[in-house]
Formats: sequence, structure tokens, C-alpha cells
Amino acid sequence: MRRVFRLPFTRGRMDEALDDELRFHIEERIREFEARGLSRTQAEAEVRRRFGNYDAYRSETRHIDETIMRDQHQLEVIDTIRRETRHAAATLRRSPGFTLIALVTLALGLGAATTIFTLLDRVVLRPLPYPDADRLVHIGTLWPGVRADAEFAISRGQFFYFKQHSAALANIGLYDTDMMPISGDAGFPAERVPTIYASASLFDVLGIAPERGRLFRAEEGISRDPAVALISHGYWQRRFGADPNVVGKRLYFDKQSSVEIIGVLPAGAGLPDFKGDIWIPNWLDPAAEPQNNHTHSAIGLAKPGVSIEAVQSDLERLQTQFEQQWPRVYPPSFKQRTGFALHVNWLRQQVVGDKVTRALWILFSAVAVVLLIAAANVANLFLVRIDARRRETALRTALGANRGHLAAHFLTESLLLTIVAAGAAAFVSYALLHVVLALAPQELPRLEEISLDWRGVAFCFAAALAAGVVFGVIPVATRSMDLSLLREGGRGLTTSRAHNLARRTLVVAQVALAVVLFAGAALMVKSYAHLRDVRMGFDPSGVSVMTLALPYNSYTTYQRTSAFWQQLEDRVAALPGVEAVGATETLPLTGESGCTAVVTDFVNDTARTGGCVPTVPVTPGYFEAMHIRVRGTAPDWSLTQSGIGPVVVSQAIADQLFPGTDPIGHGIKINNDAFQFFRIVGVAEDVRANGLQKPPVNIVYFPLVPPAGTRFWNAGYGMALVVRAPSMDANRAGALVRRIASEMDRQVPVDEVRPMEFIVSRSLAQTSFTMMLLLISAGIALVLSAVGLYGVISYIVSHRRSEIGIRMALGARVIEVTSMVLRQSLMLGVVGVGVGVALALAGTKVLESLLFEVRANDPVVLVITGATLLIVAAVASVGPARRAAHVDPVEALRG
Amino acid sequence: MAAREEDLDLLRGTLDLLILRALSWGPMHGLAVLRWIEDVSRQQLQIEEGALYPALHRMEQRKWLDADWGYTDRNRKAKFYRLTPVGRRQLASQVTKWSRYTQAVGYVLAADGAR
Repeated sequence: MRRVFRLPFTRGRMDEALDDELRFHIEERIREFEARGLSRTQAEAEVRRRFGNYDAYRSETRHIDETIMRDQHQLEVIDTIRRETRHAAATLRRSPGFTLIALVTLALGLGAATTIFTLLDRVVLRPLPYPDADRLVHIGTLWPGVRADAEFAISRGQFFYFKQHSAALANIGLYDTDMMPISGDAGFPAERVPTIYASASLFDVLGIAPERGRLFRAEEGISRDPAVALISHGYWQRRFGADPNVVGKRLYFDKQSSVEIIGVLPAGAGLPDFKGDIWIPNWLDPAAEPQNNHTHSAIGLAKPGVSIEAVQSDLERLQTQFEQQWPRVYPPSFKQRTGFALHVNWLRQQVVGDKVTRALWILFSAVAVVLLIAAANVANLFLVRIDARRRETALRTALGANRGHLAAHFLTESLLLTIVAAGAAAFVSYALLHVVLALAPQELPRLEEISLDWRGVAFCFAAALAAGVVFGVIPVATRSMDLSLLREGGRGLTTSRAHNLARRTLVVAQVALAVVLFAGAALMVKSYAHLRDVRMGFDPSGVSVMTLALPYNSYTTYQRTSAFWQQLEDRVAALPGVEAVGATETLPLTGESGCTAVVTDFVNDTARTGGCVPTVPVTPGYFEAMHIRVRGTAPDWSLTQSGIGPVVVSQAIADQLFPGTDPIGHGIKINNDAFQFFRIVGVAEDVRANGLQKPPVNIVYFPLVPPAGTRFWNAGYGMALVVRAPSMDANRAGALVRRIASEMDRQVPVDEVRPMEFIVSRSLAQTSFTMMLLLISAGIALVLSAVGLYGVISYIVSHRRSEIGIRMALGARVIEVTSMVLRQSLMLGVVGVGVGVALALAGTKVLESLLFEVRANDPVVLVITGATLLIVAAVASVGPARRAAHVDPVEALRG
Repeated sequence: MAAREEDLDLLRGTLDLLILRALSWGPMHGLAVLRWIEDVSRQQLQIEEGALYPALHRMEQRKWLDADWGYTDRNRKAKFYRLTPVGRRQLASQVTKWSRYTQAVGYVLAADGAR
């Protein structure tokens, strides 16, 4: 037997082979029987009889053959992959320089992109951690006549009415948040615990089930004095040592009041923007008359498939009915003055906020651009390599490798490279996330949920695969040109010219993208500098702040509260190193303070009522401790307790309420019959209390003691103590204050000790965060473009060695050769900058809302950017230019 | 076209064993395997010849056999099968199994009456 060929691989050849085999059997058999003396017909009949059902046997055999073929194909594919991978790994190992540069470049680009993708995914893209997250609706109210940019909450009356009548919402939950003082006991100091006053329905809306015990019943909210509480998993572990019998125990707010713990909530249960440790029934008495008090946060659960517009129009319809039922609560004058209107939004959009969403998308675009630049660099490296390996490619083609084989060959190589890079990028991203999170502004929502997860890793590998495919396709796309190369046996000028064009285009694109990133980063830097220069109205340096809370039950009169603060201030002020001390209910830059309607005794009808202004109770020492300048008198304790209610107003409110007059000596009061007029004794410099990017806030600084005759005043329970002591760090100041406070009253907790500088820098965090990340991206982009330029210029120089040699032999001077190379690089740079500036003008517009007192088309920024990139282009050409200058004409011409 | 009733009905496993045994002499095409079985069984074992091919191909799939195309002595193209090492091991184990079985059946048939 001679072996002829291997088994068939296509279906057609498989069928043919089977027929051949069976025909051989039949024909040979017939011949055999004829030889034994049977006639042709007899022989055929006999063979047919002996063979059995031909069709059945054939189809059975064919079925087996198909299985064999399938198995063999699979083996073949696996084998090819294994062989090609091994081959690709060996090839890559043979050129370690190329491999290393490509790997590092890609790992950095992919790592940065993965990091920001994870941030974007976790903060913006992913649903909130609730079972029906995509149906949760924020319900709030807008008061454009009071404050244009602020949003307020809803009233209890609205809650009941909407919950009962809404056609679009399945349920509504209501809540308030607070820091609740919990009295100390054995082993535990007094503390302020984040507390949520929740409606029983809130748990249904959020889909929270208790880990132990039970949830609230609706009727447990009817009494004004709550009797029950739920605690968080964390608080159960921390304060109760995970006591399995915690249900039924009592939680003491002070000596007199306590609630029964009825259950423990599972770990992670909470509101989207507030993690409460104690949950108490909100006072919700359906029989109570509605009030114009829109301070309660609400989350609705939309019925499945209902749009946000449908919820809005449904609730607007109900609001109209509600107002008609209660004209006393919503008089026409109120509606007219405030422009009161409902506002609903998907909860996720409300929590994350448009600005954060925009900032993260911008950062993601920035790192995507970095990744593109990195990919362009690697693509350039691949182009260089292909040139070097053109003979190998051509040879493979000539030896019968078809397009598919070549594609598999190069794809394996590029995919192997990008997959390894993706693995490295995952580690880079893991490390980078820690850095980024340390830099991230605290206001960035959902921050605690963030870590590198499978979605991030999947993104990383998907991007790597896409890049790998592109790199792998480059050589195949240029294959047809290479064939002609082998045929001509020459140097393949056409090919290299095409490759040159591709290379230059890639570099121009790199420079252009780097310009965009650099311009964006520069704009953010300028914004940040502007922000730092803003006149804040106070001086945070050397100031430590901390919060203290007095228990309501032991401080029942304002005389007692003010006595406490006066004594505390006196004792703290007596400490060595303390220059000044004061207290305020709301520190600047710690979130928007609420506002209250005030009226003045100024006889001018249009300006008499001052809309809604932040009213901040302070102690007399506050202005000196914060270095807020006061014209007139900054009150002292004796003035505070004198019964006139000394008030300091900010300059802005003085201008607004007392136009053309000195407000000092005038009266101002809260728009409520329970209050008397307070006497204005001073005008304070404006403070940017709501954020450095926002205009200064109107503030009325109230005293802790109201004027005689005021029936209701409850200032001074939760205050922030401000200690100006430049020689002390915040921890030391906090420890000293804690000791004094506990000597005065053991039930008073001291928390949140930090430097005022920290609060200021935190308020800058979003700008500085965006700026830092853009700067890093722009930096990487610059370096990568420089590398790209360097590579291309080097290549051009080495390609034109003989030309340069001829020029030099003909008498060209070194300076001419050098400037020729430099010109090449600058040309690429200029084109890149031109394209980049055009892109930047179009692209940085999206930055506008993040900028502060800088226009997106700021000419200085664009000029600096362009100049920087041109310098980079010049620097990148220094090495190649020097090499060109050292070309030996004789050697170059010989080679 | 069915086999005559008195013909010994061959179980598939038995056919496999016979094929393996045939090929243990060297590479053969399907018809040669069949002729060998006919010869050595003295025409006593008659099988439907078509059944040979599914059996051969199935054994090829199981890697007991390897196949190549080649030419017969009379210069006709034919598919030749030969035993792989796996097939050889298979033959050994099946032979043992078969002789143990026939021995057992032999004992049963040789036993005289009920005890």
C-alpha cells in the first residue's frame, strides 16, 4: 500500500471519499462473484443481498464521518492557536525593545481609561443599590421667587395626599435626617449619631427588609413622641457588640427620653446620600392639618413603565387639587411671590447630579483620548515593525500563506501583546483607583461603593481586544503592496511612501489630541487659580473647628444654653495659644444653610420683606475667631444678654434690605408673630458660605439670646466651635475642648474635629480633582506625542540617510541638515497644533460649566498650549537631528 | 434482504472484536476485513456487509483505527485501516473479556441437571 493523501477536510470531499470506499466494495465484490461463474445480473443481485440496506448504512456512516470532521476542525483550531501563540511569544521576545515600549504604553493608557471608567460606571452608570432602583423618583419643590438655584422638599400634607391619590406612583416614602445626641453610658462616650426619621412606607419604597426584629408600622408615626427605633447593622455591631438579644433593649437620648429597639437593618441599608445609624418613625399623623412646611425629603416608587414626565404631570394635577382644598396653606399671594412648583426627577439623576455626571464624562473622554494617543504610538511601532518584516510577510505569502493565515499570524501577535497589556493595566488601574479616590472630592456621591470590579476588568480587556484587532489588521491591509515588493525585488518605494503617510497622519492626530487635553487642563488650572484667589470673607488658616451638641432636655431655656457657650468660650479662650474662639450653627462651605423669611422695620414697602435669607445663630466670639470683618459693633456677651437681641447682617443683605441707609440701629426679625425685632448692631463682610464658585451669601447672624418678649427661640443646641490657635493642630485643640466640655457636662459630645483649611480645600475638591486628572492625562498625552514624534522623525532620518549623505557630500553644512530635520518635526507639530486648536475650540465648550471666571476659548490658554506642543516637537527632533548631522557621507553612500 | 434466520446474529460488540482481530494482521481495506472474517469463520459467521462500514468509521472516530487512502495490488484506490496503539490495547482487553464470557457460558451449558 502506498499512502497518497490525508483524509478529506471539506464536506464535499468527505462525501466523495465515502462513496469511493463503498463503490470499491461493491465493484470488487461483483467482480469476485463473476469470477466464480455468476452472470453480471446474478452477481449484482447477490452483492446487493449481502450488503443489506445500502442507504441506511451509508447515512449511518456519513453521520459518524461528520462528527469526526467536526472534532478534527476543533483540534486543528486549538492547535493553530497554540502554535501561533507560541510563535508570537517567541517573536515578541526576540524584539524586547518594541515589546516593552508597546506594553508600557498600552498598560498606562488602558489602566488610566479603566480607572476612570470604573469611577464613571460606579458613580454615574450603575443603578442605585435598591431592588427597584430604576423606578425611584425624587420629589421636591422649586421656589424661584425665593432662591433661583435652590430646591426644597415637600410637606407632610403633600405626602399623605400624593400617597393616597397618585396614579403614577405605587408608593411614597418620607424622611428627615439629623444628628441625634445619644447619651453616654458605661464604656461609651456621649455621641451624635446620624439619624433618619422615616415613614413606615420608606422601607417598602427602598425594598429594605430587617435583618432582625421588624420594621415600623404606620401607626407608630402618629404620636409626636416616637417609642421605637431601628438601628443599622454597623451601629448594632459597634455600640451593642452584635448582641443577638438587642431587640427589645432601649436607646437613651438623655436621662428622660428613650426608645425601644425593634429591629436591626441589614448592612448597607440606607438612603442614597445619607447612611443613618438610627431610624425613628417620622411624625406622620394623617389627621393633622397640612402646613406650609416643605422640609421633608420624599422618594416615590413609580409604577412599572411610567415615565418621569407622567409622574410630574400626575403630581402637578394632585398639587392643584390639594391647593384648592387648603387655600389657607397656599394663598394666591404665596404662590405669586414664591413661584412655588413641584419638581420630580429620577432619584439616580438627582443623587449624582448633572455636574458630577458631566465632569466624569469629561474625564473619561480625556483618558479615552490618552488611550487613543497611546494606541497611535503602538500602531506606529507596528508600522515600523511591518517594514522590518516585509520580507518575512512576502515570503510567507509566496509560500502559499493566504490572507486568512497571515491575518491569524499577525492577529495572534497583536492580541497576545494587548492582552498581556490589559493584564498589566488591570493592576495599574487597581493602584490608580486608590490614588484617585484619595484625591476625589467628598461630595462625589456613592464614593464608598467604588473599587475595581469585573465590569472594569471587562472594559479593560474589551478595549485591549479592540486595539489588538486594529493593530493586527494593519499588516494584512498592507499585504497586497508587499506582494509587488517581492516581485520587483526592489525596496518597495510605494509601500514605504504609503506607510510614511500613515505614520505622519498618526503623529499629527496625536499632537492634535494632546493639544485638546492640554488646553482643557490649562483651563482647569486657571479656574483653580481663580478660585484660590477668591476673597472668601474669612480666614481659615490656623483655625480648628469641631461640633458640639447640647441635649434638649437638660437645656430648656436659652439662658442655660447661652450660659454653657459663654463658659465654654471663656475657658477655651484662656488656654495658652488660643487667640480667639467663637461658635456658629453653620460653618461656611459645609453645605447650603436653610433660609427663613425676615422682615425689617425699615419703612420702605418694597424692601421690607427680605425673601428668604440664611439665618445663622452665632456666639459673639465668632467674628474674631473667623476673622470676619464687622463694621459697627461685634456684640459681646453682655450685649447679647442685654435683651436687645444684637444682630449682625452681611453687607449684601444690608444693601438689599436697607438700600441707601445705614442698617445699624434698625430692627430685623423672623417673619413670625412669636418674634420681636432684633437690633442690628453691625454689618459683616460678605462670606462665600455656599461654595467659592458661588456668589457671597446673604446672612443674618442672630444671637443666642433673643430680645425680651420673644416667645420662641431654640438656637444654640448644635453648634460648631471655631478655635483660632495657629500653634495648635486640630487634634490637640479638639482634645483640649473635649476635656473642658466633659468637665462642664458629660452628656455633651465633641465630634468632627478638623482644620477649617480642610473644609476650604474640600470645597475646592471638585475643581482640583478634575484639574489633577486632566493635568495627569495631558502630561501623559504630551510625553506620548513626544515619543511618537521622536519615532517618526528618527525613522525619516534613518530612511533618508543616503540622501543626507549626498547633500553633505555636495557641501551642505551641518546646520542645514539639522534645521531640515527640525523643520520636518515642526511641520508635523504645526499641522497637529492647527487641527488641535480647532478641535479644542469645539471641544472645550463642554468644559464651560466646570470653569470659574475663565472662558473656554481663552486665547492665552490656547497660545500657551500651541507653544508648548511646538516646543515638544522641537525637543523630540533634537536626537534625530544630531544623528543626521553625524551621518558620514562616504558610509551613507556606500550603504 | 435480511440475513437468514439460522445465520448467527452478530452483536455489534462482536463485530468490533472481529474487525480488530482482522486488522491485527496488518492494514486492510474494508472488503479485505470482511473476506478474512469469512475465511477464518469458515463461512459460518455471515454479517450484512454494509454493517461493516459504520463499525469501521466509528472505531476510527474512537481512535482505535487510523485510515489512509492507498492502492490495492490490482492498482485500485481503496481506504486502508490499521490498528492504532489504542486499538491494539482495545483488542487485548476485548479478547480477554470474550474468552471469559464464552468460558462462563460453556460452564453453564456443560452443567448436568439441577443439584
